[in-house]
Amino acid sequence: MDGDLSPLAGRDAASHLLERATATSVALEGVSKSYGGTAAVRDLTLQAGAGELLVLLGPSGCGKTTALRLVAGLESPSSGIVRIGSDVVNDVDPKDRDVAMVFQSYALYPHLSVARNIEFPLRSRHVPAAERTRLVGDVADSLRLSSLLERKPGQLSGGQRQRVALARAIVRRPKVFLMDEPLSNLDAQLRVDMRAELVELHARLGTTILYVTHDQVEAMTMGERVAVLNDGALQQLDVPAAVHDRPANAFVAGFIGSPPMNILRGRLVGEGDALFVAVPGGRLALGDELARAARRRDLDEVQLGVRPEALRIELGAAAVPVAGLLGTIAATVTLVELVGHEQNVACRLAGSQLVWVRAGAGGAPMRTGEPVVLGVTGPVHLFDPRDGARVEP
Amino acid sequence: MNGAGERWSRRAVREAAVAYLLLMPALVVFGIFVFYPLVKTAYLGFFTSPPAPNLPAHYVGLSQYRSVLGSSELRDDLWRTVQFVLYTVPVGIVLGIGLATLANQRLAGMQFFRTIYSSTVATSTAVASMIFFTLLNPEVGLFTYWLGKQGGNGVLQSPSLALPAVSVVTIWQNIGFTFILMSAALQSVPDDLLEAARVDGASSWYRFRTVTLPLLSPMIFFAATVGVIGGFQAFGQIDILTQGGPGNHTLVLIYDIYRQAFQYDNYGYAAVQSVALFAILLVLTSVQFRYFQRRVFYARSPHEEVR
Amino acid sequence: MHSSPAGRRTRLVAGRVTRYALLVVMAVVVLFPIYITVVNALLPSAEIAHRPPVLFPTHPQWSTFSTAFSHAHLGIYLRNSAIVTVAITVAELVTSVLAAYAFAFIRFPLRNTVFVLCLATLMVPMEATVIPNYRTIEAFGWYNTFPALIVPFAASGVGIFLLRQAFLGIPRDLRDAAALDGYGHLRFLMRVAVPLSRPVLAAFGIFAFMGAWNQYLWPLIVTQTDSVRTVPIGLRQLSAANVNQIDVIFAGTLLGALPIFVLLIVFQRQLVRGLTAGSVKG
Repeated sequence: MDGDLSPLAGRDAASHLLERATATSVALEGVSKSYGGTAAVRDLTLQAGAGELLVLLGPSGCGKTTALRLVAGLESPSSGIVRIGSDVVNDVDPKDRDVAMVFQSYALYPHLSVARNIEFPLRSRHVPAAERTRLVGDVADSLRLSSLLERKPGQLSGGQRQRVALARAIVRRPKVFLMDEPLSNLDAQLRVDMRAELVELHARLGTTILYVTHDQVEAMTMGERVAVLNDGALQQLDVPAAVHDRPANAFVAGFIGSPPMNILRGRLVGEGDALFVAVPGGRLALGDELARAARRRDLDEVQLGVRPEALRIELGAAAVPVAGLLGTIAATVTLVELVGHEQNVACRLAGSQLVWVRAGAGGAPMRTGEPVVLGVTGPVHLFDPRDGARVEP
Repeated sequence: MNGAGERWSRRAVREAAVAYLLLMPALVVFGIFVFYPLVKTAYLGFFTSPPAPNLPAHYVGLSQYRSVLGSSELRDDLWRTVQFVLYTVPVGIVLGIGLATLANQRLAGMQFFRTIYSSTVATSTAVASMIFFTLLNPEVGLFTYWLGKQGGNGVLQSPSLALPAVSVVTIWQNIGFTFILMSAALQSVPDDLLEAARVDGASSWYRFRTVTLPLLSPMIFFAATVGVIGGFQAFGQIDILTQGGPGNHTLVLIYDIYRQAFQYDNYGYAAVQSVALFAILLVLTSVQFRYFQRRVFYARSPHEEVR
Repeated sequence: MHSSPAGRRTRLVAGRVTRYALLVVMAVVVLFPIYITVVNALLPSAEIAHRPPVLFPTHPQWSTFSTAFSHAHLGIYLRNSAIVTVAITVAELVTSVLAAYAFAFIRFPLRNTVFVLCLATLMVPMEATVIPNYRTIEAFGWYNTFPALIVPFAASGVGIFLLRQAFLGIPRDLRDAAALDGYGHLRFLMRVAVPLSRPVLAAFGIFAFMGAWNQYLWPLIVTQTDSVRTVPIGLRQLSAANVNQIDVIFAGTLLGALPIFVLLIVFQRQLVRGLTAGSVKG
């Protein structure tokens, strides 16, 4: 993939920005980083292909920002290798790695104008003044900043500051962009817009981007691939659809989706050839392959994963078996969340576990306290409670 | 493990080298002119100064420490210093609070009065002392005339009035500084607290005592410690106004050190006095420092932030 | 509460008059020594001694000031003070900025220990160490020279502390961004850290300037001739002068105070900040 040139989208406004869109791969190989006794990153191995937009996703404190800073050279690994292209860069100064970073805080210099901020990385590289002016003008054009060049960062809106930070990263045409939660300080609508703009920008520049976020929606919509991190370790690295549909473990399952996947404690019950998962208030039949896999693992207790979209609410306690259902669970409505025309309904099982159900439009409004039966329309996932690993059918 | 750790340490070494390079100028100055002389002063106290220059100093161990620290001279020096502090600090603070309260009213022209009240910060000890030195001149001084002392002994020549006079000069010179401190503190007293008290029907004196004064207390404490420390270091006004006289009546510790060391060439003796002064100031500054540290580390005011 | 509106108004006016009266009286008390110095500087010696005293110069005699310059060497004292004060201020700013930067932005071994050491200098007053310092200056061959007046004060614990605080207020991200953009420590310091700390630098600069200008004990000890004496020591020389020259003494005192007065007027805001910085209040 190295040397892969991105498609030139035929934009002349920012044409110079595409002159050197030689993308480079980035890799962490068995990298660990600890501060004092605590490990921020544990034996992390991942690679972003040349020109790829790879998202690092995880809750705060999962080590994703540390991973980014290791690539930038702002931190040095306790062990392992950081590679940009084919070069090992462990001992290369940040400034010589040819990477640009966009910070969550934007890190704009408050005493410098927008133009001087964008120009800042060029000055240290002794780019001639005329060339600097031209580059700043071009990048400002392409990010709609031309009319703001003389302002100070303090006089800009959040979205404008965001774009200045991007401009400063783009202007020196780095081999790799590192973005650390660049949208988290924007309001919701702007965030959605900027998501689209960033994806478009990536398509235009074709530069490798490592993008850190804790927002799984951002990750799923923007990333070509998503690396899910938890507690300093990689949980899963795959395309968004796979992360969503085949979560590698209970953590990923419980992190992705809105609301995320329900993880229920259950017990495997065999009846002849058939294998069921019994949960308080009901049971579900497992498909043949899943049943075989579960038997192979010699499991007794399991974690059952069901997405809210894979559940249907059947009103009334008297459930009539309906064709196509894997099973039913009795529950009580405890909370109803209206999200636009949809309803997210929280139900409590007999064993007091909480289950979220995505109820589509048009359904009758739920009342709290109402007894219901949840129909499972599948698919379901099994996780080994001992290590949270997925039971792969 | 794979060399990464080793490389990191090389980078760390480079960073540390840069850091110590940046620290070097300050550390060299501190080393030569603060820490070395501190130790050296204590060391000099073990030697009595020779009766004539160029003769070797005589090692006497702790005996000089014992004799100087136990001497009535040191006790008298200290007592005069304490008197000086007691004259200057409380009066200065009360005056500072008074002026700050006066100038903190919502009346027209306050900026004008504030400028006047803070004007004495521009006078150095030497300038303030010179002004009063001439005004208290026994022959032509205006204050001498007004005090009815003309023809006789001037105020500065009077055993009972010399130290109070030096104190008045010091109070006057410091009034601008104290005023600025107290004004700053007063302006940070939230209006709503005072208004709440007003709504409750509290008299203005009662409001001042129960709301303003407690909120001023940190600043009062600060001004007091600065004042006490400054009092122990007061030298210029003594040197210009009285030179320790008349008859040692304004001979404070610091002036005695100066006299012993630089007029009588009695270095060893002065060194012991210096150690005593250092010990006292150490206690005073650590009191101030504790307070200072607490406030600075845990209550950074927005003014200290960089926008 | 039960009084008529007219009565209340009268009381209000009376209260206001009282307050202004108090303000004016205190202003006169505070300002009188300075005022009378100005008046006396403009009076001929004979009139200064006149009784009842002359409180306003009807025929100001400006020549006294030029006499102060030429006769009393005040010009030289002012020049010396300017050299020494500017040098100390610049030196303190530079050494403090450099040291504070190291403490705020660089990780290095013994950082805390060294920092505490710098703070500890605040507890060692010049007065307690004059004797060995005097000998050091003699040993360096600096007696009665400018370096003797400047070098011992070329670093400041207060400055290091205040600037470190200011630098710690600069977001860490700015340093990281600059590092990625190719700026080493020194260039980041000059282009970002210093410009962003200008208010604190100004406040500390004025604080340092006033401290240096007002030095008394140390210049007294290490100077011997007018060629290096500063204003405070020069004024001390004046005080020993003849009473016939008392107008010159007044004029000299005024001239010696003038630079700081100008500074006070120009930098009032920063001055207040600088003076209150130690108390870390508004």
